[in-house]
Amino acid sequence: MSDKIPNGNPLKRRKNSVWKNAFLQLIHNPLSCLCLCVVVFFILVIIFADVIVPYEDGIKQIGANRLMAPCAEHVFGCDSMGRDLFSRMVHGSRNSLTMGIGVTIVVMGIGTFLGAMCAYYGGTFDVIVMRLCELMLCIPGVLLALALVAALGPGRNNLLIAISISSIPGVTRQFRALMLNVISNDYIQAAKACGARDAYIILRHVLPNVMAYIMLNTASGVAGMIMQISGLSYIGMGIQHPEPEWGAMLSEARNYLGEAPHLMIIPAVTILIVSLSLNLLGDALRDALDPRLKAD
Amino acid sequence: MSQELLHVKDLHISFKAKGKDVRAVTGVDFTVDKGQTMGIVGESGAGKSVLGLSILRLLPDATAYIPQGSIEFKGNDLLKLSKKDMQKVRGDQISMIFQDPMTSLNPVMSVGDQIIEALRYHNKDKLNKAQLEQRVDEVMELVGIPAYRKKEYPHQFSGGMRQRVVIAIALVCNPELLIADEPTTALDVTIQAQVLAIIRDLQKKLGTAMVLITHDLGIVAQMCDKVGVMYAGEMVEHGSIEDIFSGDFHHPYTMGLFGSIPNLETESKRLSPIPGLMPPPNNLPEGCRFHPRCKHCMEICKTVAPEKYYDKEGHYVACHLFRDKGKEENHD
Repeated sequence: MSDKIPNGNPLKRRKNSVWKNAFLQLIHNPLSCLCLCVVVFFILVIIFADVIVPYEDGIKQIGANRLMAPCAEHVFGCDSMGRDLFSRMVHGSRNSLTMGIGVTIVVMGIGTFLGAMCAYYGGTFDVIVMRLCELMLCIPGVLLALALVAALGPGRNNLLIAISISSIPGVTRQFRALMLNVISNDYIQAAKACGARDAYIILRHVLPNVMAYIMLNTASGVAGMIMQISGLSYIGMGIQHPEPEWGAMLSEARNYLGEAPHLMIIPAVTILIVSLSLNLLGDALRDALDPRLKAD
Repeated sequence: MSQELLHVKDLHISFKAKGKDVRAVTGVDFTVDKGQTMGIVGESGAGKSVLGLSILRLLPDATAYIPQGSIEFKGNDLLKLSKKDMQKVRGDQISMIFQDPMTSLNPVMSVGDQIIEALRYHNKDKLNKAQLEQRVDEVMELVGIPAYRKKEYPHQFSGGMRQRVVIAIALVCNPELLIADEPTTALDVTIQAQVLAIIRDLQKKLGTAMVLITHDLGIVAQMCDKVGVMYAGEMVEHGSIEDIFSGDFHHPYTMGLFGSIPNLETESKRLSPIPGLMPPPNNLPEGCRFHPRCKHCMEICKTVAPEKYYDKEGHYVACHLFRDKGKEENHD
C-alpha cells in the first residue's frame, strides 16, 4: 500500500534533508568549507598513513641525520634521533587524532547521558551523581588522570580510561545545567500532556535542543584532549617511546629549539591547524543545525 | 442530564515546601458533562492552573501531592492509574492547551513533526506514515493554517498562528476533554477572538468537553456553560453561566471580580477593584479566606469557614451572608 504513494516515505525524506541542508549550508560558507577540507584531509591521512610513508621510516634511527633541516629527501627534516619527521607526523596522527576524537566522543556520550538523566529525573540520583562529580572536580584534571594512570599502569588503553574519567564530571555538570534549562520550558510539559514517554521526551525534545552545544563542545574538546594526551605522554604515562605522538614530539623538541626549530614548529602548527579547524567547524555546525539561525 | 465525563470530588492539592505543607487547592468539587464547557475563574494564584495540571497529573512528583479527593474521568479515578495508563490518557482522551504559545512549542522541531508526534503516541488505528501526514494536513486546515506550512519551524509563525498549532496538537487525537489553561492570555485582543472562535467551532464540530481556565470574565461569558469561581484554593461560587452573570445571589468575591471590569449598562466613573492581595497559600487567614478583603466582613467570617449555601440545584455560594437566604445542602 505505502509503496503506491508517490511521495514514498515523507518522514524519512524530510529527516535526511535536515542534515543535507546543514551540510549544504556548511559548504556554502568558504571558511567552514575550508575547515571541513582540512578535517577530511587529516582523516584521509589517518586512513592511508601506511600508503603515504612506511611506519619503519619513523622508527629507524639514522645517526647521521640527527636534527637534519628540511630537505628534498626528508621534507620535514629529522629529529634528535635521526628519524624522519614527516613519517612520524603522518603516523603520529593515528595516535593523536584517533585517541583525541575517540576520547572526546566517549566523554561527550557519557556526559550527555548522565546529564540528561540527572536533569530529567532529578531526585536522589541527581544528588548522588552531582556530588560525585563535584568530588572529582575538586582534584585538578591532569592530576586525577595522572593518579589514575599511575594506578592502572601506563599504556594506551589506561591513558584513554584515565582521561575519560577525569573529563566526565565537568561535562556532565555542564550538560545537566543546559538540559535543566530546556526541561523547564513549556514544550516539555506540553509533550508530557500529549502522552509522550520519558525516553521519547529526552531523545526527541531535550537532546535536539542542546545538540548544537554538544556539537560545539565535542569539536572544541578534541584539541584539548590531544593536549592532555600529549601532556601525559610527555611524562611517560601515555604513548610509549618510540611510537610517534604529536604531543610527545612537541615536548621532545623543546630541548633543541635553538638548533632545530622546525622540530617544534611543525607539530605545533599542525596541532593548531587541526584544533582551529575543528573549533570553527563545530561553530559552523551549531549554526547550521539550529533552525532559528537558518535563512530560508 | 447528559453524560458525566469528568467528576472532580473534594480535591485537595498540597505542595511540600521546606517541610511545611502549602495547600494550593482545598476541597474543590465539580463535574463536566460531555460537550460541556466549564469555566474556572479567579485571580492569579487562586490555584486554577494547579487544578488544571492535576487533572492530567502533570504536577511535579517531587513536591506536589494529593492528600485527599479523586478525579474521575468516565468513572475511572485518574489518580489511581499507573504511569503507563496515564500516558495513554494524556493527549488521547484528555489534552491540554498551554498559556504561552511562544514557549509551548519545541523550537527545533517543525510544526508538522510536533503535530504528528502527538498522533503517533496514540496510533490506535495503525495509520501508516502517509495517512498520519494526511491527518496532520487535515488538522492544520481545521485550525486555519495552510498545510504547506507544516515543514516550517515555530519561530516562523506569529503568536496567534502558534497558538493554532498548539490547538492542532491538542485536537489531533480527537480528545473527549480539553483543558485550556488561559489559552488567549498571551495573545492580543483581535487574535484572542479568532482563537476563541476556532476553539468554539471545533468544540461544536467534535463534541469535545472543555475546562477553560481564565481570569477574563468576557471569555467565560462567551464560551462557558458552567462557571466555578476560585479564591485562594477554594471554589467559592459555582453555577451555570446564567447563575453567575445574573441575579443577586453572589459571593462578594464574584461581585468584586465583576466590579473590576467596565460594564456597558451601568455608568460608573471609576472601576472598583478588590482591595488588597490574595493571601499566600502558606499563610491563609482563619475562617473565610476572603474576609480580610471583603467589604461585608462580619465577626463570624473571621473565625468560621463558611459552608456551601445553595440557592438552587448546581448553584452555591460559600459565604456567611447567605446563611439564611440559601438552603444548606449536601452535595452528593
